[in-house]
Amino acid sequence: MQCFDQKRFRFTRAYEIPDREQDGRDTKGRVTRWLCRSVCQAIQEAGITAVNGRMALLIGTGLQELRSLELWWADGLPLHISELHFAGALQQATGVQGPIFSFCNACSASNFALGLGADLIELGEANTVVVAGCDLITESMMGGMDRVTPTPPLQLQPFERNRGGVLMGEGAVAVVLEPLTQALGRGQIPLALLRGVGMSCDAYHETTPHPDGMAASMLDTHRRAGITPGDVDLIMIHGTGTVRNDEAEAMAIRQVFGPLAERPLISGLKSLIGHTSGASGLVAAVIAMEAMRHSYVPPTIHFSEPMAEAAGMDIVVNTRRQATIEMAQINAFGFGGVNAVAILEKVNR
Amino acid sequence: MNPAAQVAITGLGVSLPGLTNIRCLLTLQRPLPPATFDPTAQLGRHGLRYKNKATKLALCAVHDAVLDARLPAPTPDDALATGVVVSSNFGNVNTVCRMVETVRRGSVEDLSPMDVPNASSNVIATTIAIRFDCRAVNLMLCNGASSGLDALYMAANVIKAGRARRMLVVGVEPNNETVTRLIATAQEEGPSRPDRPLRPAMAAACMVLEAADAALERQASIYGALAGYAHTPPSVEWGASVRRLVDEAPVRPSLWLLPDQSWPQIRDVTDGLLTDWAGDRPQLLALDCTLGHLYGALGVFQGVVSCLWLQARGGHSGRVDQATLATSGGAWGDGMAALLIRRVVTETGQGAPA
Repeated sequence: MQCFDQKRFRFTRAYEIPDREQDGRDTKGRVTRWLCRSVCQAIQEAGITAVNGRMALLIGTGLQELRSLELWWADGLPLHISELHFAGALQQATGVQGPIFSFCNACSASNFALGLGADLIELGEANTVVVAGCDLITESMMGGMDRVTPTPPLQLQPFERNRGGVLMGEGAVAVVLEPLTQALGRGQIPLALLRGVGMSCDAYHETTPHPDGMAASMLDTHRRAGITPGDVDLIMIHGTGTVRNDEAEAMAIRQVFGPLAERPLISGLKSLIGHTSGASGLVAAVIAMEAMRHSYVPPTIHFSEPMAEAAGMDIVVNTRRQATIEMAQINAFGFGGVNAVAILEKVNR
Repeated sequence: MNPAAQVAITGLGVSLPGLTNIRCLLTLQRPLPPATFDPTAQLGRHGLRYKNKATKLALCAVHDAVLDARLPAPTPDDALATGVVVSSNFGNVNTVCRMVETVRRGSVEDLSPMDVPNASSNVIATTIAIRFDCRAVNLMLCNGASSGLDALYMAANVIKAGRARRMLVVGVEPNNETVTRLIATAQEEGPSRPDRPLRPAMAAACMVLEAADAALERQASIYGALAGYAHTPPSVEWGASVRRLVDEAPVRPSLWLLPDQSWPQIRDVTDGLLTDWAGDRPQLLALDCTLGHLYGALGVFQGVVSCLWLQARGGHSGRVDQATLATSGGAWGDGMAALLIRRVVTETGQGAPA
């Protein structure tokens, strides 16, 4: 952890993007810059050359530009209210003429944005939707995590028996959604098909997750995608490495998949890159697309023994595994029990 | 045709210290006198201790809206019944600043674990869900000055996409030291009128949206229906999209709820639109003049006032088919949203969706 004054924290590790000033000073607007870069990259890669009012931009984020707010409050850096929002910078960077929406749905924010973006297309409200996720580490949230974690973890170990908690990460991610016929019509072969995104809320507790709520979002996703648990080859778990999330998530998978819970491969991406908060769902979705395209599943590292609730599950541990993935499920669960789960299908070229 | 037309409004609630009756919002001429905020009358004392001000304001507004809509109690097996969308920009800024200050003064050991949920931007939306058992989609929209109307639009989409049968849509902003300082700092560079400094509001509003057929089936009283929406991002000229929305509207609005008038460039566009207005000019209402700077809550307040207006005029003056136009945005360089709400009065005098 280089971002904050180490003597004030017990945590010593974080997955940071090392782009601060050379003398280590923190700067404002880092997450906005990553977000703009990802969105522009996605638009370019999708081969979109002209933007119009029928393109919408949806962002999922947990912590927004709250780091800039902290730097203003604690360090006296100048701040204008407009810098707390992404829309102005995104409009400048992309020239988008349609709506821009920022959803602050904690750690599942970008999966929510993905589902709501798909809705816009299905409802005929937009013909192209850029969905993005982004987050950086804030001092307040890192402090809060530190405060409530009994012993500072040295690794993030999803579904591991001796897991010690979450380590925060940073990143931004973007994908372009459009109707399949439109993509094919302009000569683009899609990277994957979005079969559906299911959503639910635990309505249970501000921080403690509940397996029933998680299961409800998985069932909703399967219903929307028109699939059954037996169709899922890979689950990109939310797997934060906290005692409570992982326990509830494994129980929810068992609830929904029943005897088939031990069939799909399971990958805990956060062991490799940390918890990128609101970006994490869409980051995992992009990795799932790559897993489908290249027939490799990324490993869950730092792994020695599964927790009891995950015993028998086919967790891809420590080294990547070659596998054909036709259908992937991406779990994302956030503070307050906000759950959004996506199903992606491979495009066979 | 905008699909939001099939979504009806069936309940209203506001939490605004000093306001005794929601209907006074239609006739308010001057700022409300200072008043203390006491949520216990509506919510009781239980479970409020560690909630921040924005959350408590929002809970009170939801409480009133749910009562107004006469919503049936949720059943355990009906997960899709009710969802939540909250719009707020300043909801958690005070907690975040206090926490970072605490860490800088000492260490993380000095933080209260009870602050951790409040540091998350979506705490308002999830707290509503917990209190009112809303197990469908739960969203927190922090989208600047257009956020309140954006939330209404998103709620309508969610209903149309079958993610919930009804949505509690809330706009809320707190006022505290952090908010005051943020606004003061931003004002130093303009854009507000120096003779009329912004007064940050502390308020919440809630609207209950339902699939129109479901609302009719349970014989709910319907204030109106969402009948069109447009959104223009920052830096893009927004007058044309508002004009198009009005021109394409099935009924021309008789009331226009203006965006925050403290910004000269916003006033210039609204003045231009009025100059070119075809037919009867609408009555104008700028809520910021009486309620202060509502920011992310403005759109939902405008929605509430639209409904009260439509209700007050329903069946009178022979103009049975009425509509309002709400416009929110532009403040602090944010995007602009516009929303039409329409009431159609049937032969029996019962409100029905468009």
